[in-house]
Amino acid sequence: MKALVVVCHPEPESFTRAVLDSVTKGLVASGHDVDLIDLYADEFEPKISEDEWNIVSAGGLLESTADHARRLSAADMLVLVYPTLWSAQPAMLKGWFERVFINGVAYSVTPSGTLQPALTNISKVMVATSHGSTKLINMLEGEAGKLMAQRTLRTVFGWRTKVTWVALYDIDRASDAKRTAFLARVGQAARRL
Amino acid sequence: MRVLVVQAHPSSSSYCAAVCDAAVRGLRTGGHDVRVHHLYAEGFAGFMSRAERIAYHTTEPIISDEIDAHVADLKWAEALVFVYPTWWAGLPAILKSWFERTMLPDVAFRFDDNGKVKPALTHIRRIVAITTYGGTRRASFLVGDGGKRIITRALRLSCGFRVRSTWLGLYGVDRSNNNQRSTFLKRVEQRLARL
Repeated sequence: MKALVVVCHPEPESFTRAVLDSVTKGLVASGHDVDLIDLYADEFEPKISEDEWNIVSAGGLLESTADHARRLSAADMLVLVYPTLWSAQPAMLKGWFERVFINGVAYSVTPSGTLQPALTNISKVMVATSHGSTKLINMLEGEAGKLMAQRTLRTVFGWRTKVTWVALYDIDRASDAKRTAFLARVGQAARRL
Repeated sequence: MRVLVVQAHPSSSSYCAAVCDAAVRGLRTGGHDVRVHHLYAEGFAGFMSRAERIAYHTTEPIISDEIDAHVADLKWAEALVFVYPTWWAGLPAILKSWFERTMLPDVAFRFDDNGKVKPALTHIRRIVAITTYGGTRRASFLVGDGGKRIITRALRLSCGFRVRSTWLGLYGVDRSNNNQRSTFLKRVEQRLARL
């Protein structure tokens, strides 16, 4: 199967890079094709501009994100690799959803106004993320990013899409052993996709 | 009260901009001291840069005059008001970026000797969010309202337990009529006048 992997971290040498390597190895080991989008390396612009906002509001498509939209529509799986910041996806990844998952790409709207999912090609989603704070704090904060992956996104993938959530909490205080174990867990989860 | 208003919509002629104006009018009527940031108009960056990320874990996480000014306003404020459209059940990227770039260690929170997170925005007494939703209230509930969780739960944890939050949402804005829109503007203005 084709896996679109989207990674989002400002530092190329961060732990997230090691997570990405584990994910990629796992996917390749299971015979999947990997298509990688590195948002920071690509200098992706997360802000939708006023002109783009007008186009999207009128139901038009965006040329600037057409390539990413095409790759998303060609994929069978979506894998997201990022650090959780303020209990959700980093702004750049949030902006990727806003500018790529638009009307005509991610969904269509029927004349009666109901939303029809248009990315039913994505049958599996995996998220590999790290949290600075503990699981308890994240629970209190509401895990907005997890909610987005498990619920909001499935409105355009369909409810049968399986979401695999692999998270390392309290990373700032995590030992090397814990980090290594997490990398192994991520790799395993990617292999099983 | 000293109120910091943060607005995040790409179009200055949008309904969201009108909502922000109504909020500011209401606050001034109520005798509040108001500072407003229109993030798009200011050209606020939509992501944390590599240099900012590296500085984040140092003792000097603020590396630009721009963020320094935002942090100064954040420290000055007793109330925070966010005005934004809810997109993909969350904060627009530019506003999420404002959280990541401005709500820094020793600004929004601090680490105690054990490395545990403690609130640092204890001077914030009120949080207000004013937002528009494309879908109905029911749909917004079903798809999950991550933006609401970030503001009423994650941010509140940085503010201490006495902070009160107020949520003003206009649901189904895409299909709302002029009457509903102007009613909401009035509601926002009146509510903020008696904050």
